[in-house]
Amino acid sequence: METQKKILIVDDEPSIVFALESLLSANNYKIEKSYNGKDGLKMAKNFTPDLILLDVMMPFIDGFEFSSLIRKDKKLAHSKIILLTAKGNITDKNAGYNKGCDDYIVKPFSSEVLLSKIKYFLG
Amino acid sequence: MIPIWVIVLICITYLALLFGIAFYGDKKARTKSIINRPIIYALSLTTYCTAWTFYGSVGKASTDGISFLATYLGPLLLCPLWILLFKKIIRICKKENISSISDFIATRYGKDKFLGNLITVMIFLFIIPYISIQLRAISTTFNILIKSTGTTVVNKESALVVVVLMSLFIILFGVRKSNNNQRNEGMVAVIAFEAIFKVIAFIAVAIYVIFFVFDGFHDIFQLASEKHMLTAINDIKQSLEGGYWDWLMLIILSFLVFILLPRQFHLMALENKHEDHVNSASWIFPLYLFAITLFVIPIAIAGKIYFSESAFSPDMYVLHFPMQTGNNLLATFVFLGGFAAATGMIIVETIAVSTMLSNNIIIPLVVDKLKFFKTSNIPKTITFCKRISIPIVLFSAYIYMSIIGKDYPLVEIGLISFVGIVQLAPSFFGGLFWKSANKTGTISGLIIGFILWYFTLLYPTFIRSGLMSEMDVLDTGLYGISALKPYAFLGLEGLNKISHGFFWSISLNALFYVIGSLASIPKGIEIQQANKFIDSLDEFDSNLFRNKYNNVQFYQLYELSIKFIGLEATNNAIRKNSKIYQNYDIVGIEYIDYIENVLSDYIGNISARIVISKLLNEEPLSRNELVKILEETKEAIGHRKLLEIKSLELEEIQKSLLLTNKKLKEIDHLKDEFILTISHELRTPITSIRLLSEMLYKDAEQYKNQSEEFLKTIVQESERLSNLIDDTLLHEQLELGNLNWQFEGYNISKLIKNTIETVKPIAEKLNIKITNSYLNNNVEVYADKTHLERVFINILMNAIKFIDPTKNNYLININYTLSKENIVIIVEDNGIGIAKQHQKKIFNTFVQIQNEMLKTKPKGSGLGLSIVSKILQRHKGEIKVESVLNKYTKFLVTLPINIT
Repeated sequence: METQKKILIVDDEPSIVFALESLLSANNYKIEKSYNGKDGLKMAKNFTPDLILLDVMMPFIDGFEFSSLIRKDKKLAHSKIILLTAKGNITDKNAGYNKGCDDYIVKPFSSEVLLSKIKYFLG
Repeated sequence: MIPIWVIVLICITYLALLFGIAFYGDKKARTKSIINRPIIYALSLTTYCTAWTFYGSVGKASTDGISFLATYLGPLLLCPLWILLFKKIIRICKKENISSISDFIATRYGKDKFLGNLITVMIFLFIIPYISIQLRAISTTFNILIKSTGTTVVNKESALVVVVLMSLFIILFGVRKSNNNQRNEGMVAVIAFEAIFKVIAFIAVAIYVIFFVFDGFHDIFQLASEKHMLTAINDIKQSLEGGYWDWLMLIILSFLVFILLPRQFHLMALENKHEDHVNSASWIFPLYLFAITLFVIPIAIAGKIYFSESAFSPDMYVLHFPMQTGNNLLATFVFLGGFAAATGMIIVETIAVSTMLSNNIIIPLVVDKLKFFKTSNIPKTITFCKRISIPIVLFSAYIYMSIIGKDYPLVEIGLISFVGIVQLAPSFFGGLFWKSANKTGTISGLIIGFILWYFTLLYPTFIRSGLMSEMDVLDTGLYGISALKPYAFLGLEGLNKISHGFFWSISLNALFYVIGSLASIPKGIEIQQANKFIDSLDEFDSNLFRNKYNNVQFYQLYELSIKFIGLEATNNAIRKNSKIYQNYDIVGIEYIDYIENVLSDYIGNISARIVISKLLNEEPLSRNELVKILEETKEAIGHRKLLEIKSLELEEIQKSLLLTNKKLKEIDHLKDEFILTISHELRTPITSIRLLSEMLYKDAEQYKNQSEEFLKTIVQESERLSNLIDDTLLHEQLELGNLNWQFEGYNISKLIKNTIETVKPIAEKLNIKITNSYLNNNVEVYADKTHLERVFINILMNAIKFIDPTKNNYLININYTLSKENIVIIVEDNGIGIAKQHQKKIFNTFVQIQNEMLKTKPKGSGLGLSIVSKILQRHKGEIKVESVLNKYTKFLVTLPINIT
C-alpha cells in the first residue's frame, strides 16, 4: 500500500477547514489543520506536509508571509503550497508565486478542480 | 612817469594775452586738456596770493614786521592736512554736483533754499570789499605809473575800465554753459599763467631792489641795524598788538579762509581735474609761498630806508622802487605782476560769487516769474542770469571801492573779509565731520556770527570812514553800554581788531551752531546728506562701480526697507541673511541686492530698482518721486493685502480640499476595502457551501455518515450569507439615510429582555452567562423597535464573539444608570478587551481589530458597531466604549428617556 500523502490545511474559516478536511480525508490523504498562521507554522515543522492548502487572508501571519517562512525551512523544501485566495486579481497571484507558492485556487472552487490540482502535485 | 597810452596799450595787450590763453585752454579742453597737471592745480591755488600779497605784504611788513607771515602760515602749516581734507571735499563736490561753497553748505544741511540764500547774501557782503581792494590796487598802481607820484590816489576810471573788461572776460570764459560740472579750463589756464607771472614779477623787483638799488642783503640789514629798525621787524611777539594770541588767531583764520574763500573753494574743489593733484599741490604750493614771501622783509626794510620819511605808501614800495629809480620797464612789469595778482583773484572770485548769486537767488527768482514773462527759451534765460550776475558782482565791488574802501589799507579790508568768510567754518567743517550737525544749528550759528562780524568789524569801518557819525560808539559802546564796544566786546581787550572780531564772531557762531544742532531734530534729508558728506571718503575706494555702492549704510537700507515694507518684514528679511551689520556700517553690494530683492517682493521690481538706485546714486528722492513711489507702493500694498487675503482664503480652501480629498481617498479606500471585504466575506461561506454540497451531491454514499453535519454547516453558512447581505444593505441605507423609521415609545427594560432572549441560545452554547440588572418597567424610550433591538443584539453578539478563551467563565452583564433625562445601558463583558489605540476605530466601517487571543479571525461583516453607532445617532443617543486589554469591555449606550 502506498504511503499516505500529508496535507496541511491552514485557514481561519472553520467551515472551509471542515469541508476540506472531509473532502481530502475521503480521498485518502493524511490531514492536519490549523486555524491561523502561527499554529500552522509550528504544525508544518512537525508534520512536514507534502502539500499545504493555505488561505491568504488570515490574521497575524497572512498566507504570503507564511509561505516565505516555509520556504526558509529546508526541511519543508519539498512541500508544495496551493494558495486559497478570495481575491482573484493578478497582483495577488504574482505575490504568491514570488513568495514561493506553487499554485493558487480562487474561492469558491469546485472539489474536482482542487483534487486534480492536488493530484498533479502529489502524483 | 610813463605815458598813459603806453600803459593802456600794455594792459590791453596783456588782457589780449589772457583772452588768448583762455581761448586756447578752452579749445584744448575738448581734445587734450592743458590744465590736467598737478602743477597747474597747485598754481591755480596761488590765487590766494592776491594784489594784497603782491603789494600789501611789503606794506604790512614795513609797519608790523614779520606778522605779515601769519596769513601764510595757516595754509602752510596745515599742508599735510590737505590730502585728506581736500580729497574729501572734492569727492563730495563731484558726487553732489556742487557749484559753489554756498551750494556745498546748503546741500550738506538738507539742500535748504533759505540756507543757500543766507550764505549767498553773506558771502556777497564779505567778498565785495575784498574784490574792491583788488580793483583799488589796480587803479592805484595805474595812477602811480602814469603820475609817478608818491600819493596813492585811486583812479576810478581805470578801475571802471578794468571792471568792464573783466566782466567781458568772465562772461566769455568763466560762465559755465549749462552743466555745472563743466570746467572752465581756459580760465584755469589763465590763473596758472598769472600765478607764474606775478611771482616772477615779484622776484624780479626783489632782485632789483636788493642787488641793484642796494648792494645785497648784507647792505640792507646793516643799514637797518644802524637805523634800529630790525628789532621792531623781527620781534614776533611785538609785531602784533595781541602778541601770540594774535598770531594764533591769524594762523587759524588764514588756514580756514584758504579753504573757505569762494575762489579758493572753487579752484580747489570744483576745478580740480584729478584728486591726486592734491598730493603734488601740497608741496608745490608751500614752495610758491616761500618764493613770494622770502623777499618781503628785505624789500620792506629797504623801503623804509629808501623812502624813510616820505609820503610813499609802504603798500606800494614794490612799485615805487622801479618808478623812483627810473626803471620804467621794470615798473611796468611789476605793475603787470600786481595786475595779474589782482585780476586772477577778481576773475575767480567773481565767477564763484556770481555763480552762487545766480544759482541761489537770481535764477530761482526768474524761474518763479517765468510764467509771468512767458519766456519760451528757458536755457537762454538761465544763461542770461548767469551772465548778468557777473557785472552785478564787479560793479558792486567798484561802487564799494568808490564810496567806502578808498580810505582803508588793503590788509585791513582783506582781513575783515576773511573774518566774514570764516563764519562759514563751523558749518563747513562741522558738516564734514559731525553727523548731528543740522540746519537749525547752521542758520543760528551763521546769523549770530554775521551779527558779531558786522558789529565788531564792519560797523566800525563805517564809522571811521565817516559813513556813520556815531564816533563815540567806538569808545563808549553801543547805547553807551561799555560791554558793547565794537573793539572791546564784553570787555575783551588786548587783541587787535581783527583777532578780536574773529574771536567773538567765530566762537559764538560755533557755540550757537553746536547748541542749535543739539537742540533741534534734523529732517530725514539732513541726516541723509550728513551721512553722504561725512562718509564720502569711504567710497571711491577701488573702482568706480564699487564707489557707487560703498557709502550705503545699513541703517539707510533698513529705514528704506521699513518705509516700504514695514518693520516686521524688514526684520525678518534681515534675520534671514547671514550678514550682520551695525547701523553705520557700509553694506556690501550683495547685501544691497538682497534688500532690493526683498523690496521687489513687496513693491515690484521697478519700484525697488528706483528706490535702491536712488539710494545708490545718492540722489535724494524728489518729493514728487517719493509721492509717486509711495502711491505705487500703497497701491501695491493694497493689492498685496487683497492678494494676501485671497491667498489665505485659497490656502484655507486648499487645506479643506486636501482634507476632503484625503477623506475621499479614505472613503474610496474604505469602499475598496468594503468591496474586497464583502467579496471575501461572501466567497468564504459560498466556498464551504459549494464544497459540501458538491460532495453530498456527487458521492452521497461516501459521506453518508457526515451528511447531517454537512447540511447543518451549509445552513449555517447560508444564514451567514444572508446576515451579511442584510448588514450590508442596512449599513448602506443608514449611510444614504433612506431607511424607513417607525418611532414609538418603548419600554426599554422589555426591549433589552427580548434581545437577551434572542442571543441566549448562542451564548449558552458557548457557556457564556448573561446577567441583567433590575430596571423599572416604566422607563420608556422613543425608538424604532426593530433597529434599537439590532443595536443591542449587535453589542451582545460582539461580546460573545470576543470572549477570552483563557478565562474559565465568560460573563456578560447588563447594567443601567438613570438620570432625569437619560438612561445609560452598560453592557460589560470579561472578554479580550480592546487596546486603547483601537477603541476609537471600532465604530468605523469594516474595522475588525485583530487580537492574539483569537485562534480564528473574528466572524462577522465588520459592520456591526458601525451600524450601532448610526442607529443610535438617529435616536439622539450615543455609544461609548471603555476597555482594558485582556480584562473587560464596557459599551455605554446613552438614550434620552421618553417622558410621558
